[in-house]
Amino acid sequence: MDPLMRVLACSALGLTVLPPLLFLAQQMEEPIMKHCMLAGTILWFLAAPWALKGGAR
Amino acid sequence: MCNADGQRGASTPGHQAVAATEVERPKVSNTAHAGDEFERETVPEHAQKGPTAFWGMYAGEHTAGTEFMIGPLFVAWGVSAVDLLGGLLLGNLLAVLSWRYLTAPVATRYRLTLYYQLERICGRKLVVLYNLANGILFCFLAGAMVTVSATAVGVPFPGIQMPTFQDTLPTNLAWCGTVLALGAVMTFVAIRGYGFVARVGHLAAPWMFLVFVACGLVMLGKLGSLNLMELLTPPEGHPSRIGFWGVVFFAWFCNAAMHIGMSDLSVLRFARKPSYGWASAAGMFLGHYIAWICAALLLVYWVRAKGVDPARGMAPGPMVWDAVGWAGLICVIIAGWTTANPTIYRAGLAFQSLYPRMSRATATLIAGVLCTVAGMFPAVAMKLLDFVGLYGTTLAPVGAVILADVYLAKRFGVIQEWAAATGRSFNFAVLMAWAIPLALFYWAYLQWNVFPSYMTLPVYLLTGVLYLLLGRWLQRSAVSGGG
Repeated sequence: MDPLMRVLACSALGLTVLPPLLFLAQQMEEPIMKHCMLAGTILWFLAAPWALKGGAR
Repeated sequence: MCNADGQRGASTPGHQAVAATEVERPKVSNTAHAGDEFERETVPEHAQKGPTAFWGMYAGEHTAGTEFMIGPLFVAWGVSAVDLLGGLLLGNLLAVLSWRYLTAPVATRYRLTLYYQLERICGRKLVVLYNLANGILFCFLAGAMVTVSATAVGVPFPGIQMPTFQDTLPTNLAWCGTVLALGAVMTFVAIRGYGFVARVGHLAAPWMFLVFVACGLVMLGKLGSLNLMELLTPPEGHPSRIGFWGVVFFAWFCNAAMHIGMSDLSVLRFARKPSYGWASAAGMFLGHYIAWICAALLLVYWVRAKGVDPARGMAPGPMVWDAVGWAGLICVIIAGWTTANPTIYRAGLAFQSLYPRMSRATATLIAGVLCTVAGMFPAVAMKLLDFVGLYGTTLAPVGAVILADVYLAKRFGVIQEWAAATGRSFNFAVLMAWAIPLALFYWAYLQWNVFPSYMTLPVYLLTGVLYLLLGRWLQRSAVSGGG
């Protein structure tokens, strides 16, 4: 399960930072960017507890 | 900025103890303890940690809710682009060097918490006084974090009047209600223990940093330029309160209590080597460089595109909401919450050390109430550049006493670890060495409104010199007087 969660966590971080980059490059509209970032946020908090398990300290 | 020991959990300031009476070094434990805190002994080899733990901790800890305030405050203060970009670079470098070459060597040599190291020099009763100062300042710091979070909670509710940089008093009843509700939740969680919040903070750290970056990218997109030098140049006629050196000293000393003040002995004592002090670079250059600049761009946009007066500024919540939407609001709330909560917890422990019979829950409740009341007044958050300087200048000087004791005491004829060596519980030399420069500093601050970060180094150096002079004089009189 952990490798899958790691992929999801990485995707979540991608969804957080790539849409603003696309917005900067005028390749994405602002509302879509904000929705993608919210999706990335939700995905991150679902996947990160498993993806980062054992690395807390 | 910093949070006050955000996700550390390494040691507690409120541990109760009898004064040390032995002159020998503290024992090394070979067995694991409940919680593995090693509060009154050196950290054993098996409990020491590798470098990754420190890089991760520093990176997460210095991306806090208050970063959303500090970046825009530089813009409000009219700092020029060169001063900001260059000053932050040099100031953060000096901060990293302080961690690496001042804090980490002492931490890995003795492997004690600040509180125990200090207790062995100045006695238990004086440590209690330090804890009181620490506890009160923690409450105000946590209050600023609650204020920042409340600006995000208030976004969906138009009835809540957001404070500006010039507000010092509560803006309206709805604002007070929002802060009260947030403060109550944070205090309740702190009373229950902050393990869960620390875990959330740890998980949120990489995502939070990227939200800061996202805010910066979106602002660049909306401003239609990638030229940071041009964007960060203040508008014509906007007076500048600090220049290059003001930014350098602020960036260097905003965490003065942690590095030159030796508070991070409690963390770095777990490091295998002093070179782990370099890990602080992760916090300084991600949180205190990139995140501050991204946050500054938020206000630059509001000034240029929406005509906001930079001196009045804008609360972080609405700016982040406008930039990145719900993800930003969640980030502001989590960043404030995960940093305010351990601060309330630690303030409670500091208060508990004053009255050992008081339960931790009661002490945390007192700290939470103080923090919530402080949070209603935007004065602390909106004057964060000043407050952080006051905080560092007040607490950092005890680090000068520790450095003087470790490296110079023998050469100057001062008894090393005086309290542990003599069995006394109050080192008057330390009190005077701390109080005299501090009294001069507060007088200068109130009289001339000197930027506090300019005074941190002079106060620090004067404390160290005074300790050596007074220590030699007072300790000799005490010994010859048969005390």
